Amino acid sequence: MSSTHFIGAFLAVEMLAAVVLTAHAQERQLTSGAFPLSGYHYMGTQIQELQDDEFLNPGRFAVDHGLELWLESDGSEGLSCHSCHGDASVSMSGVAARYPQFDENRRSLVNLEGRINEMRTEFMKAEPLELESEEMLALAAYLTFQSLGEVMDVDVSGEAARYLEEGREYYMQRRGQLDLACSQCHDERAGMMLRGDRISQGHVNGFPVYRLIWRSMGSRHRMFRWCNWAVRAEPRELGSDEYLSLELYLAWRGRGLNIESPAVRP
Amino acid sequence: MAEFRIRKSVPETVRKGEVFEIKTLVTHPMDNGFMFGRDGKRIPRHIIHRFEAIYNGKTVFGADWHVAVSTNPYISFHALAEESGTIEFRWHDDNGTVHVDSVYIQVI
Amino acid sequence: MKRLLPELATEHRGSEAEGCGEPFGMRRFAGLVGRRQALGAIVGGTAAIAALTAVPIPAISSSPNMPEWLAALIAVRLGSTEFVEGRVVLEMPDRADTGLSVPMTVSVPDSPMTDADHVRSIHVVTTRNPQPLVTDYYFTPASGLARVSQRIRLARTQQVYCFALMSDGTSWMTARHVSVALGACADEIFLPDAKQPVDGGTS
Ligand code: HEC
Ligand code: HEC
Repeated sequence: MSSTHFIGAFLAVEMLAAVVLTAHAQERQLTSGAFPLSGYHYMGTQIQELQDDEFLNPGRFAVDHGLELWLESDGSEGLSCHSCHGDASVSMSGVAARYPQFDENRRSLVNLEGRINEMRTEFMKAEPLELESEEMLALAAYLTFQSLGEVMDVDVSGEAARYLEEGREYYMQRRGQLDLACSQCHDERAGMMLRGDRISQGHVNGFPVYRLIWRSMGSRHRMFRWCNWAVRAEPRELGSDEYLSLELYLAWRGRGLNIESPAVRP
Repeated sequence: MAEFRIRKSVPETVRKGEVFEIKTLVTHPMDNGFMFGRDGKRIPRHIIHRFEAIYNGKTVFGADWHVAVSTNPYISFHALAEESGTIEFRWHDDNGTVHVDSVYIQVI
Repeated sequence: MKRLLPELATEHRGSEAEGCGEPFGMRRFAGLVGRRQALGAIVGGTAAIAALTAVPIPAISSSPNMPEWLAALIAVRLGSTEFVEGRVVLEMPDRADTGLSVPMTVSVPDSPMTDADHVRSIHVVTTRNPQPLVTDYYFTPASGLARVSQRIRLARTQQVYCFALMSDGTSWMTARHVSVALGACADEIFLPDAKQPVDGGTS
């Protein structure tokens, strides 16, 4: 869908909502899978306030921590991220919105976490950060924060197209004891209630995200594991090839959404 | 988050005799002692049980917190502007630590 | 002014099930410690025992609505049984998006907060959390305004009570009913036998 179509669709639904002026319109807007709608719109106002209020948003602590790590030298070269990249608000602006991407040198997909560890091992001669560690989440949150409000726009041309297809397959495939595909919840049932939670379209524009039930930040891959658990399917490893392809597919599927990390979710 | 991080806010300046809002947010698990960890063992209670605000040496506000206070405790309260000076915050942790921080408030 | 308006204190026993996003791990907790034990642990020592068993039921509980144990708890902790409904204001949503973080603001907006006439303290207590005490706030005239906001945990749909003690010796109260929709902990919803921890470690 081109962005003009996207805006058109959005306006049409908005207008519809204004005309019908009932709870139904709201419902229709939330359930329509025709255009991407951030998970934010599926949250109650008390959670939205936690995300919107800079003071209250607990994810901002991770961003602050990330800045400290950005400036801290580590490894045998005595370098910090800042030594080479300088001010992240300039050098890293818009970068996270383009991840994951196909890496020509590695001949594989790489996401933001993968890039961070590549920097650490190859340029800084430091130990890689453990995925899902507080440090990794903080750095990823700090980098993503430099793209706050930017439109998610991953490149799926060339070599990446193959991974996109793999990701789409994973997303559409039924799995687990419950035999449910991601799409059955996040496309077909978006807007419906799952006990106290409203199922969203399952976009990744809010990640790294602060989830209240985790009481911490979490990556996209941790969320995939959670959703795999939901249907009693075998979760994949953090950083696995399947999850990287899935991440690419989801980023592409949500293209046009603004990055809103650190988002807050229940 | 492992480290105790503090966010605090007061107005930049405030007129003498005016009431102003003070906000703080800190990182703390506020383990309520009722939850079970991944190992199946109960996570012992570990909360901040007391919070105090001391304005130029005088305690102007205090709170006892119990296990119902949310993870990463947030609080907003008020004080009456008297003189420019510091407002010291004290968070009393179950583990015996008292986390201390302060802000400067300019009264005009 | 009426004392303890009946509608304030109606207990709603909802049928909500408990899940992973559940603020106190009540599912596991249930049966481990009874209400009385929990209470004893809070008030502590003989005073509590006395309050729960020997002391005649204080005036506050003459209202059919406030649970007896709560009246006893308040009598012991705050040393007052003469609470009049009014003056203290408790702002909370009728429905919490999640029990893990419910916005709450308490205030006594009409107190002048002078040396002669100010709010000494405000106390928040719930009826159906595993531990009823939530917060106690202490004010001085230098507080300027008795108004505090926090985020709290509610284990389930229940009443939240708020009591205020004034420097002139009067005591005020209010209550609100807050319903809590428990979060989807997917593996529990689909497979009740799932052995997942409730500390949010589900990954
Ligand atoms: C020795 C200098 C050096 C250091 C230290 C360094 N980088 Fe880099 N970084 C580079 C270079 C050169 C590139 C571009 C070439 C490449 O991608 O390999 C780059 C690229 C990147 C990119 C990708 C940008 C894009 O447009 O895709 C990110 C993200 C990044 N670095 C983050 C970091 C972080 C985080 C750290 C600290 C952990 C760090 N870098 C440390 C030199 C460095
Ligand atoms: C049984 C229904 C169900 C299935 C199947 C499911 N999810 Fe989810 N998913 C949820 C629920 C519930 C949430 C939390 C509420 C929300 O944000 O939608 C969620 C959240 C998400 C989120 C976070 C959205 C946000 O804005 O924070 C992503 C991303 C996601 N799921 C991806 C997936 C992927 C990928 C799959 C397939 C591997 C999948 N989900 C399968 C129910 C499901």
